Amino acid sequence: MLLVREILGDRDEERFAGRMVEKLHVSSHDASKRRLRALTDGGTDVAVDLERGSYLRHGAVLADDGERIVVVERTPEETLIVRLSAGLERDELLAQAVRLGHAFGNQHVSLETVNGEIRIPITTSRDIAAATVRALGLEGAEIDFALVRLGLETPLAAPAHQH
Amino acid sequence: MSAVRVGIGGPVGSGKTRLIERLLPLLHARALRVAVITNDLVTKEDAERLQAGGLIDPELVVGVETGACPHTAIREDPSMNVAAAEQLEREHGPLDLVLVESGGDNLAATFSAELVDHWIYVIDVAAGDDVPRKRGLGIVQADLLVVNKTDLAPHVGADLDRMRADLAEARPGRPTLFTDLRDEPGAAAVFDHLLGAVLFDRAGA
Repeated sequence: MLLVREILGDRDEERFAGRMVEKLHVSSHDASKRRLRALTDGGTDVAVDLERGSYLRHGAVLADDGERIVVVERTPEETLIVRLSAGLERDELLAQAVRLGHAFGNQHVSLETVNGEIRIPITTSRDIAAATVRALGLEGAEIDFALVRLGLETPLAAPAHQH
Repeated sequence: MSAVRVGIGGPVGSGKTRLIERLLPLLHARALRVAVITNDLVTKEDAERLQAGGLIDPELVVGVETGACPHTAIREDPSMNVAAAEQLEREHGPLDLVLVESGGDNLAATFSAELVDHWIYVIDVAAGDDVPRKRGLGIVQADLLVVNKTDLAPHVGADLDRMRADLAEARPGRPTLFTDLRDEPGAAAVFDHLLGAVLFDRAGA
């Protein structure tokens, strides 16, 4: 068992150049866990024990023995992608974004926005996720599905829900 | 070294408190120091049950009255539970493990990573063998799903094979255990899971 108590750095750093790479696949949901037990793609048994509040970002180096590094690799996840119409007036764009966030917030689904896309991990099914968007009647909005590496650097935005 | 925190969520009556009662002797047998936080809407019923049960020092059990939907106290604003965990560690530490039992809640309940390091969701077969097909984040995202009261399956017409197949589809790559926690051995597999998944570096583990 390889015990990891700190993140050493990022795989792109010069000091890790030339190392062999073992990948530890971590989903966006599990990336917020400070304690984790999993196998790398090379079969190494990794036990993670980090400070509370740590985040397993994509590319984080968890171990280095001088020849080989263990690196966090974000698992691609089935994702609903929503692109709001570029031709909307500012107020309408805001209204559509807020309604979309509210609808998925009610389902307790976290999401992120990257390069103008709203990315929502599918926790139910494609049909249910698409129906949630269609029910809002967002004029000009396009939806798509893809396998996406989510939450590369920071956690997805969690919905607020207090009552 | 701070205590590992493990959440236990699930609907009312599914067996969350019973799971804790079954785990405590197994944890103590490994010399692991454990404390428990229970959550109830407006009472401390579960805490009082554990304190009176003789399975744990009553001072190591804290009841939190959430005063609001229980899931808000384990996810959106877990500050009451975080404060309780920190208080237990401060006054009774060092501890290996703090178990945080949610008040019974719906299938969408999940735990914040601010509060726990790992979480278990408990459902029971008597609530219907269609529950896994209803998904919900509790079922989909829990680190371990426990399907309890398997002894009742023949009495309520629950199809356990169908539940296994539905859960394999709903939780790819995530473990599920079927238990009968009325009998003592039922919790052994849950205990083994915790040893491997989160108690890997603790004394006795």
